[in-house]
Amino acid sequence: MKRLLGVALGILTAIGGFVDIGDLVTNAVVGSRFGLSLVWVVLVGVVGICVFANMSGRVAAASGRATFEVIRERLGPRAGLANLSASFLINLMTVTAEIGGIALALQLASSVNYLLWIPLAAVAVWLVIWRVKFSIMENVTGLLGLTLIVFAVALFLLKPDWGNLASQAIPAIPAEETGATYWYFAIALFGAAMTPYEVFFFSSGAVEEGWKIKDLIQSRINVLVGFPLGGLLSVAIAACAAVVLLPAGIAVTSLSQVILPVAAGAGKLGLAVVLLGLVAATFGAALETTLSSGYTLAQFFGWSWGKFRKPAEAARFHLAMIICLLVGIAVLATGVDPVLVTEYSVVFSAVALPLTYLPILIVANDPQYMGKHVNGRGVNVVAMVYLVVILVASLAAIPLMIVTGAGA
Amino acid sequence: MKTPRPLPPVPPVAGQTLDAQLHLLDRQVLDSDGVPVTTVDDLELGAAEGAPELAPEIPVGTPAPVLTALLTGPVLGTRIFGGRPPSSRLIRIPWTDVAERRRGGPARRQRPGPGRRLGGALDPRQDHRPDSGVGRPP
Repeated sequence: MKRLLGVALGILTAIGGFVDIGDLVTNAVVGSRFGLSLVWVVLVGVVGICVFANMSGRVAAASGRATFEVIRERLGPRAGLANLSASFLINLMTVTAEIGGIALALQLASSVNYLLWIPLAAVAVWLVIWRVKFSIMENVTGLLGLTLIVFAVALFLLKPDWGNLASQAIPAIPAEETGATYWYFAIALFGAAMTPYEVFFFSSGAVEEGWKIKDLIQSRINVLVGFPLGGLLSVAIAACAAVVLLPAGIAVTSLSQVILPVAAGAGKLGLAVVLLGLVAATFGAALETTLSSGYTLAQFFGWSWGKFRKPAEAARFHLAMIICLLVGIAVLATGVDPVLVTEYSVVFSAVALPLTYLPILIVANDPQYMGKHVNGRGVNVVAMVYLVVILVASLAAIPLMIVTGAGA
Repeated sequence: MKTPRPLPPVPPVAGQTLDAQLHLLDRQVLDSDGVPVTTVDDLELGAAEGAPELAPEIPVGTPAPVLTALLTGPVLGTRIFGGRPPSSRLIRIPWTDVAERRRGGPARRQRPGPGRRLGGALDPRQDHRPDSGVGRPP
């Protein structure tokens, strides 16, 4: 019974923790401009993150090593540092976007300017990282993030023409958009679903919680059930935008437009719930990305890390996270639009994906690390297909960004 | 196409074989409590037992040098951009403290520990616990 509860809790937090500011913004933007014609990308991304998260979870459980320890061991100091720089900077961009997301959500709830909420949000994130136990932190934000299901509820309450909506789901470039923008947003959506921080966080979290091989079944269920359901939530966000915003000709440029369909469909109560969901999802993701920045640095440089240690025993790890939060505040204080930061961060996430994916794939096949838990043939076939997909997305992202003027 | 002559088999070696790149360099070092402390940055080689001291000119027939210590320190910069840090910047972790006593098992590493500074290097013998093990080698 206790085990069953554990599995249920794991699945629920995986769903609630799946959506972050990147998913919210990108899905709404795509829904409002392309309808559901890019929904297949969410599917590709969700399968990808399932494969990738499973693999890094297994590496963590079998070898006790988290992602960046492995990357440094395998790539050496030079290539490892180049990899760290890219991954860390993009993660820092995501931290900034998430903190901006919390502030924007609080602005929507309170009408107090988001710039005033930013320091408060960052301090709250730091306090939770400093004080709160890992499992409590994960479960509370994950469960509260579940309130974003209100997007799915609102979709039903909007009573859309389901046949029309389903016919939109066929991949096709809308008449008013170009092929380049279509593919640019395809990559953005892929990057939002498969952000590298999820993998840093997942594998380091496995070490934090002391996973053994026997815990892998539970983690596999969490991932294989929770992430696809989280993906469904992403689709609901896009569908809401496709039903309300697309016909009205509103292209999403702010968080208030993301939640507009919920207000239209589910009224005041829905609005209250979605605001709670927004704060929970961005706050949870801010915790995960901030921790990820500490994890990557500490693992590369061989510092002691982890929330399971007292902050005094992992001083450099905690200091690194404080500095990252301060940098995030400083960037946001310039008045840069957090939604814009988010849009860039998901694309750069796609650029950085191969850097972490490839080392994990190699180590997952190395019996010296994995013993008899190396990748099976089936996993390797899927993983190789995804390696190609990830490489193509990564290489095409920046040229497409230049050609399309970042999707304008 | 001619089939190439098979290579002669590798001569048997006493003790365990470790690949410096794969198994030693850049590995995480844990202290005796399992807390990460640093990574292995370099290796120190010395003359084998009974052999003359290593000199720039190695006469033919000298036994192969052996690993005497793992080195660590704030030397990432020189490792990436080249150059050589003064040896005072390196902290020695003697191999005898690190190699596992169990036969056939993987190497285990030991904590550089809060030892006294001796001649510019931390001496791990100041903190020698019998079953301290470091690293989670494959």
